This record gives sequence, C-alpha cells and structure tokens, in this order.
Amino acid sequence: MTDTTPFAPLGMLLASAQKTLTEWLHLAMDQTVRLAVTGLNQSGKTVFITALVHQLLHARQDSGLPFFECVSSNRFAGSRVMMQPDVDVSAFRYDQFIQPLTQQRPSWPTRTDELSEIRLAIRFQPTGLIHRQLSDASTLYLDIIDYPGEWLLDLPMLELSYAEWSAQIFQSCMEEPRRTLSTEWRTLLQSMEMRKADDALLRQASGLYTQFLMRCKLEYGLSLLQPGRFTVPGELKGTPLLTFCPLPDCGEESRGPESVYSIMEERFNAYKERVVYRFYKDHFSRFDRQIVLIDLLKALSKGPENFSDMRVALESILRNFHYGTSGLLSRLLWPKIDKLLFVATKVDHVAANQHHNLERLLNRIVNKPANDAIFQGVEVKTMALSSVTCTRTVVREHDGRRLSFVQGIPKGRNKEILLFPGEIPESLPRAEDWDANRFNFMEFEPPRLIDPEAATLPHIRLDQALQFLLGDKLS
Amino acid sequence: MDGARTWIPPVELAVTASPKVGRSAAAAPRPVVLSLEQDGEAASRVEPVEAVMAAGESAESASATATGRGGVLTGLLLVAILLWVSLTVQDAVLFLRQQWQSHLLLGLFFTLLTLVLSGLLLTLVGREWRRFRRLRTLTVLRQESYRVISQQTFGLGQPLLRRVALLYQEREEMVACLESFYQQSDDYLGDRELLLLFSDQVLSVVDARAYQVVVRHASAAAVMTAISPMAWLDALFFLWRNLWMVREIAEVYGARPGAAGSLVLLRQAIRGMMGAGLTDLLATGVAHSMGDSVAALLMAKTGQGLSNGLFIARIGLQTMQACRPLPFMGEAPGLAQIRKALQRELGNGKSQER
Ligand SMILES: Nc1nc2c(ncn2[C@@H]2O[C@H](COP(=O)(O)OP(=O)(O)OP(=O)(O)O)[C@@H](O)[C@H]2O)c(=O)[nH]1
Ligand SMILES: [Mg+2]
Repeated sequence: MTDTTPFAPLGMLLASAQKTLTEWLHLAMDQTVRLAVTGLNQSGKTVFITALVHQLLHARQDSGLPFFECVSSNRFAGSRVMMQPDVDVSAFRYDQFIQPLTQQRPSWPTRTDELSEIRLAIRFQPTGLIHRQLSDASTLYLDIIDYPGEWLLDLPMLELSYAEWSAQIFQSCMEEPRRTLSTEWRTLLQSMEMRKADDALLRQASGLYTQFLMRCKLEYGLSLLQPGRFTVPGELKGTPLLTFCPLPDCGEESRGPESVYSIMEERFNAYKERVVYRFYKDHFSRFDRQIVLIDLLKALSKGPENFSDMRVALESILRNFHYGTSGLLSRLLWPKIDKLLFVATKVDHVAANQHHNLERLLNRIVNKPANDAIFQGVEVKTMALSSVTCTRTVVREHDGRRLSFVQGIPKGRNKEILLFPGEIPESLPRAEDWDANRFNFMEFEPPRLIDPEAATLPHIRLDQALQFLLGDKLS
Repeated sequence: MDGARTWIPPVELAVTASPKVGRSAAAAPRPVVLSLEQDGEAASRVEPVEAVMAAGESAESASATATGRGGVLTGLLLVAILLWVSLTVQDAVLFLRQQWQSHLLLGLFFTLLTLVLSGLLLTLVGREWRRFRRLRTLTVLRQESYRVISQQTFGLGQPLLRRVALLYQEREEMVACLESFYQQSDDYLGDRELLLLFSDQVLSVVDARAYQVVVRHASAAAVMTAISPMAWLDALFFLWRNLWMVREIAEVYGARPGAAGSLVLLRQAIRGMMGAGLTDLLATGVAHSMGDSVAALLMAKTGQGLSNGLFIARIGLQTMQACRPLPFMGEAPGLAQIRKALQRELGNGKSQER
C-alpha cells in the first residue's frame, strides 16, 4: 500500500474518501426483503414469526440451524430488531410474544387479528468475490409481515357484483351446516322492510350475518367465510364498512335510492375498494416472499366435510399467487413474489417418522396451485415444520406393536403423556375410512426450557425454511 | 373389507418419569430412536423396494454398463488366467520332478524356492483382492444411499452413516466435523436430510482434499507436458500421472486401491467421461478456445499443456464421483475452478520464466 508518512494529511483525506466510498457502496448493496406470513386463524403465524426472529437473534454456528447455510458456514455476523419501515402499520410485538414462551412455566402468545410487521437487520459475510473486496459485511433488512389468511379469501369478491356475490352466498347456505346456522339471519331478512333503510335494522342484519360467520368458524371450524374481515375485523370493527350483508334478489321496485338494497350494495362496493383493493395495493403488491401456514392436522382430525371446506378455502387463497389472465386481477396481483413456501405447521404433534407423510399430503393438496405458480416463475416448496417443538418422539411397544409416540404436556394439563395420535395417511382417506376416532391430535404446552436465558427454542426444520426463504439473499 | 381396519387407532399412555424437553435433551440419545424405528413401522409401509433399487443402480450408469458388457470379457479373461495358471503349475511340477531326479539337494532348493515365490505371489494377490473389496464397499455404500434418498425412508440413515463414518473416524481433521455432525443431527431428521447434512458437513471436507489432489495433478501435468520436449515421454508420464492421481483420490475417500483397483477406477473414469458425452467434451473444447485469454497469450505448447491438465482434471472429477461413499447431492465439483487454477499456474510459470 502507499506510504503515508510524508503526506499524512493527504493520506488521511484519501483514507476517509475511500471510507465514504465503501460506505456508500455498502449502502447501495444492502438489500431489503419483505417476507409475508399468512395462514388461516390459529394456524401458527404468530408463533412462527416469533420463533423465526428468536432463532435469528440467537443464531450461532452451533445453535441448531445446520441447514441454514449462512449460519452453519459461519458467515452470519449477528442481527437485531430495527425500527419498522411503515409508520401506519401495527408493530409485531416480538418482545411481548417471546416473553411468555421463555418463562419458567411457558405459555402461548395471545391471538392477533391485524396486519403487523417487524424489521430485522442481518449482518453477514458475503461469499461473492466482488463483495468481499468492497466491504467485509453486508446487511440484509428483513421485514416480516403477519396478516390473516382470511383476508385473501376476499379476492374473488373483486370480480363479482353485489348481486352475483349475494347469490353465491345464498347458494352456499343451502348446505349443512350453514343452512341451520344461517336460519336466524335469513328469517330476519324475510321479515325486513326493504324499501326504506333503517340504520338499526341494517346493523341488526349485518350483526346476525357476522354471528353466523363466527359460528361457522368457531363451532365448525369452517374457513371459507366471506367477507374475510367480518371474522377478523382488526381496526375496522363497528365501522359502516363492515355493516352490510348479502341480500336475496328482490324486484326492481325495492331498489330505490333509499332502499336497504342500494345502501348495502354501496357498502359492499366500498368494502371492495377501501378494504380489499387497498390491502392488495398497499401491502400485497410489495411482498417479495410468501409463506402460507396450514394446520393440516386440525383439518384432518375434524373429518371430511371440514377438510374439504379448508381445501376450498386454501384453493381460493392460493389463487392469489397465480394471478390469472383476467385484466384487473392480474394488474392488482402483479406482486414481486418470487418464492412461495407452503408449510404444514405444528408437525411436532406427530412422531418424526410421520413427517414425510404429512409433507406428501400437503403436496397433494397444494399440487395444482403450486404448479400454476411454478409456471409463472415462482419458486415453490412444501415443508412440514414446527416453530416451537413441544414433544419428542418415543418408540414403545404397545399391544404387540412398536409404535412411535410423542411425549409432551397436553394443553391445560401439567403432566407429560405418551400419545400415539394415529398415523398420517399418504393420501386423503376415503370418507368411509375417516372414522371419528382415527386421529387424536392434541395441542401441547410449550416446552419447558432447561435454561430459558441461554437456550434457543427447539424447532423442526425452521432452518430449512430459513435457507429456502433467505439463503440466496445471504450468499 | 369393512371389518378390516387398515389404520391403528390412537393411544394415550401416562409417563412415569418426566424429563424436560429441550435441545440438549433431544440431541443426546440420537441414534437409538432412529434405528429402532426401522424394523417396527417401516415394515407396515409397503414400498417398491426393487424398483427403487433398480433406479439407484441405473444412476450408476457408467459402472453398470461396464459390468454388463464386461461380463463376457471377464469370463474369457478368467478362463485364460485359469489356463495359464494350470499350465504354469504343470510346468513347475515337471521341472521340480526333473530336479529331484537329478539331485536331492537341487530338488530341495528349487522346491523351497517355488514355495516361497508362490507364497509371496499369493499374499500379493490376497492384498490386492482385499483392497479391491474395500473399494467395492464404497460403491455399495453409495448404492444404498441412492435407495435411501429416493425412497425418503426413516431410520435407515443413521446406521448407513455410521458405516460411512467408520472410513474416516480415525483421521484427525475429521474428528471435529463428525462430532459436530452428530451434535447437529436432530432425531426428527429423515434419512434424506441426514445424508444431506452428512454430505454437507463431513464429506465436504473430504471432497475439498480430493479436489486439491485433482488440482495438484492437473496443474503438474499441464506444466510438465509443456516443458518436456519428447512426445513419448509425455505420453508415459501422462498415464503414470493419471494412475497416481486416481489412487490418491481413492485413498482420500478411504479406500486403498492396489494396482488393479486403480486400473479399474481409471477405466471407469474414462468410460464415465465418454458417457458424459461428446457434447460435454466439445463444450470444454469450445470454451477453451474461446474464453482462454491466457492460453492465447502463451505459446501453443502451453495450450496443449492446459488441455492435458483439463483432461486429467476431468478424470479426477469422475474418480471422485466413483469413490465418494454418498452421491453428490448438491452441485458436483466442476471444472470451472480447476481451469482458473490451471491458468493461474501456467501464467505464474510463464511470468517466472521471464
Ligand atoms: N405444538 C405446537 N403448537 C403450535 C406451534 N405453533 C403454534 N402452535 C399452537 O397453535 C396456536 C396458535 O398459534 P398462533 O401463532 O397464535 O396462531 P395465529 O395464526 O397467529 O393465530 P391468530 O392470531 O388467531 O390468527 C398456539 O397457541 C399453539 O397452541 C408449534 O410449532 N408447535
Ligand atoms: Mg396471530
């Protein structure tokens, strides 16, 4: 290098110039990735993001992420939580969620129903030659966004008029269990005075409709419920935007300007524009990578009707990722998403030798939409993982058979049990094979860490998910 | 078929002792759970073992076709060897009898000599055979891992990897990475994942060493060919260099092939190269003639050295694939870095000459 002694000031000047140049290049090379996490309610989004952040904040070469190349090859140079980029979005409260999980008597985080985000900065040593010469470490800004999968169910509404949409809903109410659950709401509609809208009546009708949706969700675990915000209202609760419901086709004469129908139609359109369209424009179109979490085990244990409902809901959700040829939608859904990960969550509810079958089952379910997405150049992967592992696999002899049990503390108890929850079939069982007591999947309490301060949370395949989602950005 | 239930109903049992669940607790007793699984539940799953076996073997295309077509040849060779041996034995017996008849001492001397010689020969052949067998185990291991990978089994990986680890566990530099592999292989990992991890964390160290061997021989061959003035010396040197390298690579991977083993490996590698196709060879040639700015600068002779080096490198890479106890699961090592290394080497040589 140059000898700076005779020209010390010049040398210093040069050095500082070089430094700013490096810094500038550094900045230019830093990248941001927006990673969106979604799934139907209670599919494990909050726990997944919390665990992911926790692993990233605690990553060391031997911290149990062998498949996350950046860490296992010792190029990872630390990470931390940063200020979030958007001021008008709620924060993902990592601190609040991790705290109950790492207590002496751990518990799960509470439910959430809003879109929230968190930003991490990850420092790492790039492998590329160019990078290595320019600067030692680069920074990747990782924005993780949590939003309810129910919101994606609204996409088809964008293409429908109010009349068409109403007709669809009434059609679906012909079948059980929706038929019985919706009786009260439908009876009210029949007795309602349609010509002159009355605010109280409107609220009552929409209230009954919301109640119907909530009962579908809570009592029967159905997922295909529109409009999505009625069950996951977030900050819109109680606003006129959520105060409408489908109406049966009525004659021309009762669609006057003051009529119930016209007001409901107006609100439906406002909902489409202000809620659905806004979400796609403000958020969805900015996502780089998407994870869809699916609680297959819950759907399996609830039987064929529930399973097929979840499947239809899932297909509807997945339509978001293979934007068709239709004009409006394809323009709206021209996201930059280049990687799509389908995850069967809570895989620790079953023994390790069942993971592969679970993954296969998931593959079968998402096969068609995944193919479409691949066709459009999106990289797709399916995986069975658990964000926080609560059990371990134990092989025991039982009734003359060797069975793989899971051992853990079921939710609400305080003693460990050994559970053989049934075997995961490789393909969907036929309805007549789907006996009520074929599966017995149980929820578990989070693991009690031996040393909550120092230990990282146990997980299954979180490192492989990280590698798929971020591996290329950290190379 | 209504009465026959094809599935096992769920069971819930109480636990007496309640160990805490955590990373350290889960990692400790790792192999036990895995290996127990294999005889119990894998049996209830019906899987087309034969088909997969066939698939795994067909992936070994080069060697498979070699043995298929070589069957007749090997038979002929065996017959010839048998004939030759019996003739030699008969000759020896006749000769000895003659000596015994002519003089007692002479007979005694020659008998002893023959015994010593044949003893020596037998131990030599025996050693060669044992070494050959050892080379075979590498192939067998690889074929088994093909099966495990394609079948996505559970519980077969650990025992297989323990056998692979036997090959390397005495090496000092491998102790640390084997240790880290055992520590990181959680008991939820399927066999494919285990093999991937092993390939990544343990075998990559071995690969790097083998790769160094290839680079070293390739660059040595390139420089030497470029320097030596005599064509036949070049050719001889080239062959010897190849054999030497093949043997070294096999040793790196844990086999100690004798002369026969090395020859077989070399043959296999050449076949593999031919199998890789003319296009590939051509591609290298084209890339060579187009992108090779250094070679263009150097004299034609150096250019020839470079292509000799590349040839040796290709043989070396093929040998690596044939000796590795697990197949390459990600990207197999390629020529790109070797080309760079060679060009650097030749460039250095050139600048040093000047
Ligand atoms: N065993 C196990 N249970 C999990 C795991 N992840 C989530 N759960 C369970 O699933 C429940 C829901 O997880 P959340 O992360 O809150 O789900 P969510 O998708 O954020 O739910 P909403 O916010 O209500 O939409 C938790 O209370 C746990 O009981 C996991 O990795 N393993
Ligand atoms: Mg949540």
